Amino acid sequence: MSSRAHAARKWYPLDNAANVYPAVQSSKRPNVFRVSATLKEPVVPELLQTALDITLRRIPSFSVRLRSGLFWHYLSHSDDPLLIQEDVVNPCMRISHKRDKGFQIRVRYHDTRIALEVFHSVTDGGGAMTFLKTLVAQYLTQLGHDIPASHGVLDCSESPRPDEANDDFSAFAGDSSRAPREQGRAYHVSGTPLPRHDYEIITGTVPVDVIRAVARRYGASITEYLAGVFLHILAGIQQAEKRRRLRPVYVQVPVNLRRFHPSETLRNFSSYVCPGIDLTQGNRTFEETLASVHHFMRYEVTAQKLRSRVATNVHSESHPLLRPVPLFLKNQAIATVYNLSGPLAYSSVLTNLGVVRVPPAMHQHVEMFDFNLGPSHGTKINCTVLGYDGKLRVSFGRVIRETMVERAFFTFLVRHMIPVKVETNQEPAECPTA
Amino acid sequence: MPYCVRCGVELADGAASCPLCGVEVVLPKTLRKPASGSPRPQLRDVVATEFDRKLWIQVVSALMAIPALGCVVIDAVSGDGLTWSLYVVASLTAVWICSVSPFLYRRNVVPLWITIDAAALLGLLYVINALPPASDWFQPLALPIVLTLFLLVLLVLGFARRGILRELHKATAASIALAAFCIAIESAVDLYLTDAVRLDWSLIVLVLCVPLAVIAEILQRRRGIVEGMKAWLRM
Repeated sequence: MSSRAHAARKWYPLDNAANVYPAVQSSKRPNVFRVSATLKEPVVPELLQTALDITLRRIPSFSVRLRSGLFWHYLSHSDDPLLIQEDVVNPCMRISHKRDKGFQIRVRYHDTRIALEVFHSVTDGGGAMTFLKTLVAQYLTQLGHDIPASHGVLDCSESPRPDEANDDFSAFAGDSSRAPREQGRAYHVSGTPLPRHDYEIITGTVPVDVIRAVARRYGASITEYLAGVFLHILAGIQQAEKRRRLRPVYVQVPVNLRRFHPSETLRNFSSYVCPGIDLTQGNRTFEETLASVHHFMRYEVTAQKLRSRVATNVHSESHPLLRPVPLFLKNQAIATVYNLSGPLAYSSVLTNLGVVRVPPAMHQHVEMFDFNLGPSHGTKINCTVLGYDGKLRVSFGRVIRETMVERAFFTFLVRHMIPVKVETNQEPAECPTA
Repeated sequence: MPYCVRCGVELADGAASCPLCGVEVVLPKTLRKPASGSPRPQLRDVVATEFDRKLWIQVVSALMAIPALGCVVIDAVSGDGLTWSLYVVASLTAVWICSVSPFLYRRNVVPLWITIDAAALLGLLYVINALPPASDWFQPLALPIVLTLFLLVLLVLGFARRGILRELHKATAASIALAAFCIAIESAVDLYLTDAVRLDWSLIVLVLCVPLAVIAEILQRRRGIVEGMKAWLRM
């Protein structure tokens, strides 16, 4: 497709992963995530709006509305202006068709922060971070700074590239055999539900070099180490509940497929693996849990294994008997399969966006980046990880009042001599009582 | 740099308590610092509950499809082919169309769903007319009555939605429309039965509706009377 044809593109079919989200979207599961950048100076809204308009012209696949077709949902391009909004204390709430004018992204600002909230059908964390970096670079350009288009910042003077809107799942899956979808029901933390529209986030900041050194001491990567800690404390919480029947503990870890397949796409292109431990096999020490996670990740996070997993979903989408089924029936089927094999099958999510790199000229204006998942009443609590400027930001978002998971997690890191600085989106008066 | 004495984590400057365990931060005055970082946003994102159109359509479809299918099966196995079940299927189809038509589009396209409803009603009456024993009342009787009703509803709602009819004007228009509809019914029935129009009971309806319309119009023009009545009723 030529760039002119791409520029004139009026609609996009949802990519393979994105088909699930409209079918299972609700206020309890909004499937919205957020990436944000905190600058060193307060944001000027007028310049941010200008920067957003320019960025959307460069990345038109974000200026879209979700539509329902006869057989599938699709994204239709919109030339209407997307207006920036003031930030809120409870991020990642459901995209409202009326209030958000059909757009599937929101750009918010508050004091020094610029935040992008995205419905997962539009893109994944990697695509959203590219958009945010380009938006921030464009905003700084509006302020008069010279920011080069490098380190993942797109050049807004260029036309959109056709490959940026590709659905690369089919190309990645190739003719791989399909992996079976089988996983039992996992343990879920329980607690007192927060009032509707409440979403509490606790973020811990740790030095990257310290946590990397500790992880290496155990022969693991940072993601493996964090997943090991998460599984260990979830297992401990389950055992403390003294349940009659212990369930396995699984943590879903998304994997960016751009590492395994050359891709320029700014749409969804990630899969996941679910390391876990089965408590019916007896107690495990942290070292045993981490070793298990390490070997599982090395075995599962390979191009072949991921291809096979992606091929299962691609095959389901392209099945000749499923394709002509009307959308409302398809939605029911997708929701049923998702409810059986989705959040029920894992205890929580731990997603690591990796280290964010920006051009040096931009680095001096950006204090930090953040990454948050939206609320999920299925798992109750989710964890996100992002590195920038030598600091690792580990955020927990939860829809229950109790903070036992975060407390156990961060105090575990402290016991491993990793300094943790904790902050929250709650008002001081709302903090839990001892 | 305050620390939580219970969790061992560093807390943000100015934190009053530990977000993890709630233990209060106690610092000497000389070490206290104002809150660091950006102030918290004051706005809360409250998403209004939207009517789940898809769920409504799915539930209504299931509620209509199951009895329709059941009747067809029972009729097919118990008699000479499909007979009475066709009435049930046609009726349920019309009810289904009327139930889902307002929810087909996110925007409330009233003329569209009224048109769809009228078409569904006409379709049902046509099927009943055509099923054995076949009759001839659809064209002379059902068609003009339904079309008159459709046009009157469309006119009144159209004027009301465009703001031409306000407050008690709507009552005036509804009264006149009711009288006109009754006259149309009686005219159609008379033409079908006797080939001549002789208005009778519809004139009584007209005599009742016209004063109502006049009263509503007077009250609309003299709002003071309405306000006085409201005050009196509150007493």
